[in-house]
Amino acid sequence: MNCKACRDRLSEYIDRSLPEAERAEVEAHLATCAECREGKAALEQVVADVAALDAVEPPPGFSRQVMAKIRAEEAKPTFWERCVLAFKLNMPMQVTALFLVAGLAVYLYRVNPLPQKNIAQTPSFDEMPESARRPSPSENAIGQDRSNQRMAQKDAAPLGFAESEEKREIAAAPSNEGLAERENFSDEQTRFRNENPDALTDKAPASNTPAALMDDKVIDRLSEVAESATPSKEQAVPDALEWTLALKPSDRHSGFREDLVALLQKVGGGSQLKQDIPEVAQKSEQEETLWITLPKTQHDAFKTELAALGTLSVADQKDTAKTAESIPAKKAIKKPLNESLPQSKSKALLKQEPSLQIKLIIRRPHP
Amino acid sequence: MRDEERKEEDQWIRRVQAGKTEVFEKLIRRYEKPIFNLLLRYLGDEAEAADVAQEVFIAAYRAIGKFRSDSRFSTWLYRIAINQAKNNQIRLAKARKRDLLQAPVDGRHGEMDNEGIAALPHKGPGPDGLLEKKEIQQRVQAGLKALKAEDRLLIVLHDLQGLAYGEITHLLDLPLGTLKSRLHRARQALKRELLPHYASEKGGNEL
Repeated sequence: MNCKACRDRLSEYIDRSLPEAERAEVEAHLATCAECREGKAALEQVVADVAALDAVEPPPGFSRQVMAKIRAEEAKPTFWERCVLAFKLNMPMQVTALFLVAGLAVYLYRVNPLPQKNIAQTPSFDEMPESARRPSPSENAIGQDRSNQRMAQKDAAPLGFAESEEKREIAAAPSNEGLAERENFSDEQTRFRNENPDALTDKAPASNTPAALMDDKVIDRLSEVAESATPSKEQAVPDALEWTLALKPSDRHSGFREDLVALLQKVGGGSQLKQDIPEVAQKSEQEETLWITLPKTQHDAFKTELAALGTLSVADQKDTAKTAESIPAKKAIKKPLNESLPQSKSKALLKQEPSLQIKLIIRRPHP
Repeated sequence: MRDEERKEEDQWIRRVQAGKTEVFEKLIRRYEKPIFNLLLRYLGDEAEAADVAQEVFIAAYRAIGKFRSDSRFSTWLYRIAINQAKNNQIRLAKARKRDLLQAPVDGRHGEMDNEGIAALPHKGPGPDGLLEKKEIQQRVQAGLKALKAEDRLLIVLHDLQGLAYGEITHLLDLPLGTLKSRLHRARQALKRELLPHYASEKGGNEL
């Protein structure tokens, strides 16, 4: 055995943990090598000095202090610690988490419908328009499978055309009543769902329509409404307006129409161009009337941008409301422009989205 | 530990697990000294060791529901102590780094290696045997402090507290071979720290 092999084994030699054969080799080497003997003695001294370190007593009253702290902690145990300790359950984290989540779900389910019900009972049920009291199966489908609807978004037409009758209903209803109507509506929905548990899954129509893609927005808007029960800015905007837009001579060509369509897309509005229905449009070649529906929140943006397209004049609001009411929409428009739109669905959507109806008269300059 | 002590200990643990908080004090009494000394030698500061020892027993109490008697309570407790000590070291290192940045002249006190090992008196056996012993202890403590934390821990566990190789491998999750070579390396490092003093004390005699 050489010196290095000996040095490497000295520690184990001192601890008497070397196998017998190696121990004999080390001893044989130590007998002949003074340097290694010195190294061994120094190492033994180090180990002995460490072992000779006095044991120090812990501070007086140590165990009492610790127990005092433990008892102080015990006095306010967390609920779960106590359960685990008392019942010796030693529950796995996942099970605990499952119980917590289940408990939370039940709690939320029980707590949430109550405030809605209270609000819903304030207006008289009989005062509600017929359509608000009669829930249709598709109305229950709101919020169903949102991912499908997002996929549908790509294919869907950009403008959500809505049936005119529906818009008129909203135009007639003051905003506050509109809110109550929505609340009552959701109450009604709950009742309907309880009575017809299958309605949600069986009767929901395929949702590959422009209206369907609006569901996400509607749901977002609904939660906004729920959060801020206080009257918001949008309620300052009336439900119906009449604007007249006088086009500049340079806008006589079709470029204006594209601009308008782009603008409508931007603000998320829909329109029905009366011009598309021949007998109405033929009355005047220089004037076009457009019925535009858009979210109230977009009112300012739409007005600003529209003013850039021509000279915008705004009719008196009270008159406008009358005008809007006095025109029987069913007569004015014989068929919905977008026939693929499920009517009941659009009703539900428009009822829940505070929307604004604008009668936009477009005047073209004489050639 | 004798068999009857072990049985007694198992009983205490079961009672604490069943909600008898006060029985835990018996376990503290049995282990406060070794745990405190382990921490004292590892951390090198009495106040710090006392604080960490408190945390160790409180942590042990909180976790005792999870203790299974297939491992030894002492090993389980040591493991908690080592973890707490390491965490404390990390915390302190951060705090010191911060202090150092804020106040370059840092007057730490209450630590044995305040002036460093070189500043300790270099002289032969004093007039009083007691004084000499105290000096040696101070040097050893200072030497330990100069080691890497990992090396220091192995020396404290094996050479001071007398834990067997098997216990230490279990405690630190080390293979036996690794433990042996690391312990050897740690002792050599400590020897290098202490050798100048041995030489001066023994007047250059062969050891």
